[in-house]
Amino acid sequence: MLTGFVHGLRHLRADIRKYLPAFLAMAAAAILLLATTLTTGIAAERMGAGVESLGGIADVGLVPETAGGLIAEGQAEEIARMPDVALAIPTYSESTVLRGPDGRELTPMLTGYPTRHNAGLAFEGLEGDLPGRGAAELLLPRDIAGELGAGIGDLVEVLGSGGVEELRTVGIVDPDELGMMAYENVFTDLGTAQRLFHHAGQVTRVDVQVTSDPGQWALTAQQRLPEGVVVQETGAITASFAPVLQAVGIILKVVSGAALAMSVLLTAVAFSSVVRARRRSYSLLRTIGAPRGWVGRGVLTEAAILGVLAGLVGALIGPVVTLGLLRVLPGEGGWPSFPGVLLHAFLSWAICVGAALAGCAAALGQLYARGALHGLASADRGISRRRRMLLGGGGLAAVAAAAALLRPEGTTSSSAVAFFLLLTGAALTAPLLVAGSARLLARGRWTLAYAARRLSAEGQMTAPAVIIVIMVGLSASLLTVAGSLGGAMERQIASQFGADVQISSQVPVREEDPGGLRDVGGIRRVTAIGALDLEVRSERPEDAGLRTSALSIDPSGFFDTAELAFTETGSKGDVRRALDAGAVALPESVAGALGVGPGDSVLLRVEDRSVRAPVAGVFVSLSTGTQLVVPRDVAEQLGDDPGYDAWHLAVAEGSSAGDVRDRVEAAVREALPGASVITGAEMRDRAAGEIATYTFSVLGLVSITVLVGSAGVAGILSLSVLRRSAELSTLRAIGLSAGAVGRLLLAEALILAVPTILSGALAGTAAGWALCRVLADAMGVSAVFHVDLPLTCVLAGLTLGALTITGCWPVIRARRTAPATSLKSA
Amino acid sequence: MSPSSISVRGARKVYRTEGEHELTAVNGIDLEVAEGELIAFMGPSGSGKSTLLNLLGGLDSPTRGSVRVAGREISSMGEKELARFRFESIGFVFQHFHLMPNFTVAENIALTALIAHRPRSQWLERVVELLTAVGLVDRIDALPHTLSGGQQQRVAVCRAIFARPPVLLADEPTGNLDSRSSAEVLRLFRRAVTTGPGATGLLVTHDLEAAVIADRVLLLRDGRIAGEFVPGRGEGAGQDEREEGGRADRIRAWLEASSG
Repeated sequence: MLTGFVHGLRHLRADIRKYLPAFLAMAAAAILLLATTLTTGIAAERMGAGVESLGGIADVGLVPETAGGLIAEGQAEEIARMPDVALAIPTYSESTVLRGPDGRELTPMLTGYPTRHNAGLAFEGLEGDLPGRGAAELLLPRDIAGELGAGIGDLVEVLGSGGVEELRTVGIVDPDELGMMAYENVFTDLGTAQRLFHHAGQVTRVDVQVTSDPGQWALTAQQRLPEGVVVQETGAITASFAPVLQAVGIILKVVSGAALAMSVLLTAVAFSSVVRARRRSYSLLRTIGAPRGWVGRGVLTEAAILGVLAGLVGALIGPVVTLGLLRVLPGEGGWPSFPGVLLHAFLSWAICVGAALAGCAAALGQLYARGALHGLASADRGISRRRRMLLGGGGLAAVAAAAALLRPEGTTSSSAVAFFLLLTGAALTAPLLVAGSARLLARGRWTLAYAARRLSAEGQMTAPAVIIVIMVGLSASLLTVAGSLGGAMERQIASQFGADVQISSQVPVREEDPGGLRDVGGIRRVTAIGALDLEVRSERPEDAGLRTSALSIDPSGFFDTAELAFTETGSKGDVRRALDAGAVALPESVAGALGVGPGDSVLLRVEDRSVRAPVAGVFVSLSTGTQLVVPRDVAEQLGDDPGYDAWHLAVAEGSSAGDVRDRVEAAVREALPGASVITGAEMRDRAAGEIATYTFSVLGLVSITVLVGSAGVAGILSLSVLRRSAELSTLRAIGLSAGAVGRLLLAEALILAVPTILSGALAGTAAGWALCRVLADAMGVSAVFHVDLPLTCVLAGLTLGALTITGCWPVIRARRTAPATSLKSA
Repeated sequence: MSPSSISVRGARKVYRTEGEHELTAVNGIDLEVAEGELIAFMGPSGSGKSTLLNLLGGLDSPTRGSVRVAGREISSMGEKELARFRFESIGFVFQHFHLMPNFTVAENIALTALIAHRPRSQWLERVVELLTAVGLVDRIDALPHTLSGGQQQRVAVCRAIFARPPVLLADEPTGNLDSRSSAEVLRLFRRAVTTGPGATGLLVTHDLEAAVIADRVLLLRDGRIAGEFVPGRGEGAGQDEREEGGRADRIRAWLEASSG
């Protein structure tokens, strides 16, 4: 019995070459889909693991309510007396710099814990002892000890707020025994840590072991906790990392979505071409009584088999590609369980099968819409003019809608919709554009005229036009994002961090002039900068506050060496004077979130101290995210002196920045271990280098997209050559050389590529602006639009190059068309 | 006798098939065709008719032997030279018409002029002359898919004779046509050979009605010429139906005798 299934299977075997491009595209889409899903999942897991590792050593972590706040030890004792609390362990943690005996430096977290609990800590693999009470002693996890080159008894220099102090290594422990707690942490006595950072009697968290259910305890205890102490919400910390992850996830998903769309298109073209080629045999089958369903099942079978096989390839290779992607991702582990991987693989496989079935839908439509005798009559004439006009009209409407959505006061979701509308609109107008360009060339010289006329009538060329627009549009949008964010970041770094020489310390110190900076020769001015965590809110009582950080500056000196790109303000002089008078400067994203601008006031709060400050100006911020700029006076009103962690130096006339840097480096080596001393030019070079790395990564992603798309286009052109063998061989028979036939194909590819590349680049640049706004919103930074013309030209060249290289395949196939074929073929 | 337009000496064409088997399609053919002569090749499928036509039209090269067409030795020509030779010296008529779907009737006829970048003004007159002769001048700007099969084949014949090539080749030109259209196309083909300056016609056919327009009928079998028949001079198909019928009967009788 010849079932529809067997019939489809036989057909598939016969036409396997025609399906090859579609199969490869589907497999690539499935691989990309699975790899991006797994990678983003694992990245989130790793980030979560990093956050959990801060959670520490007990059932529930209690932290200060406000950013940068501290918990008094008295409050920790109150907590210890609360019901169901078996043990409360106060700890003090601060990021620091360690320098080992041979000068190697690390920047881990120093955690002070109450060493009175030493007796209860049993580490099987402990080498040496645990730190003693009040002693300048350190317990190192074995990995950190190895990196520092420190052994038992060795002195390790630790940078505290008061400068460098030496602690003796008394114990080395296996990090596995410490669990997550040991993640980049070294340990000392609580009192020692408090002394090092000038916070006697204060802790950064209290870990609580409870006798009841921890979750339930956390819920009920919140009301009874001392004022200013809250149960740590690790989700909130994860959320602070989420924007970056979200941004990366958005880009990866957009790329895999586009790959999927291209694979559906390629499948549609393959099936449409195959069904067209079989129209006679299908009509014959219908004529002798085969029901439509039976014929349709055969086509569905072919699509299902293709989708199943391509999905399987994706499911097998996807995890391997994920492994490659994970090599560049920080952290370890995070792999989902085997059933988890299996589930993701199944989902991408199912999507792949769905894409294959969607791809064959148009071909099935052709089969179902036509009568039995259709295929025995005449060949199809391709896409109708009316349909092309409809598509073009729809596309133009989509582009217009997108433009309307891109108004300045638009939201994130309207920007996201605009991004998709712009690309969709450009894709829909592509066939109209190609037909229009072809019409212009239809009266030209022979090769162009021939190619142009074919393209203006050839419905099959719709898909490559759409693919080119999608691939160029998507690539242009990614490059615009990279160019906009990277360029703006570079400019901000150049202006805000433009001091001749800059010092940044890992740990804030109280000393305004560490190492006697002002006495170093060749320095005209030193400006010390501090940082503090705070909460900022508008004056509207119903508005929620925003936790962020701030630069504490001396306005009179800061602007000698740095600039801020103010957007809404009068002159820069006005801003300086306002900052001198106690006003603050807000990054655009914070001002936007709070709904405030110059002339309004904001409330700044650290713990229980708050200050009302007018807004002096709003500046574009990319590299410093949501960081505010506050005058030092305001920072001091908000609480303890936050110390200094950066110094901007202006070099005296006639001195070389490089020489000053060397002298400064020598001067602060002892006082600020691990500090970075860099000239403004080096800072700009470093920023440019890092941004170039990101840009090249994006370019890499773009190259993959362009290659996959070009291979798809070449596949369709190749199918077209197969289908047109009679026509091409006739041309050969009447005297066209193989080279001339190849040039015909090249002309077709060019007429197809040039307008679609231009349209894709234009739409993609606009879509890039929309995507820029989406990502900037996700990361909480200002969106700046900048078109990188050279990069866009590189993209156009890359696409043309890729199309030319992959286009060799159909051209060679066309050149090989034997002239004698015309005598045989129908 | 007119000088030879086509001269074939010991032509042999061997194809190598899968599994390294050799298939001899043309096996040592000698043939002389005079200028102005119209030859019909007949014979069963696989007898080598189409291969011989390919060799004579420069679509393929012989494995061995010499093929001289319109005064040029083509058996040793390279791919480019062959293309040039076809362009200048051969007019083809195919069974399936093979008109360019996106070109008008006029452009299809003047295809070689378009390829040579000749302006419309230089070829339009010739196209109108040909279309007037075949009764299709009112369809000069029509696209091929709007024409009937017979009309398409008439356009294809016009394309073949447009540049007045010395050799016209037709491979089953009536294979896809009804009897009335066949007669029209055959008459046109015969007239092109008769009135063309020194034109020579070669026709591959299974159709007795087509063969009657030929001056000579050659029967091919197993890659060799198995017989030759001269049905007698006539003005061609449709001129004298009784005479035509008589020629067809004679050819049939000869074919049956040759097969027996």
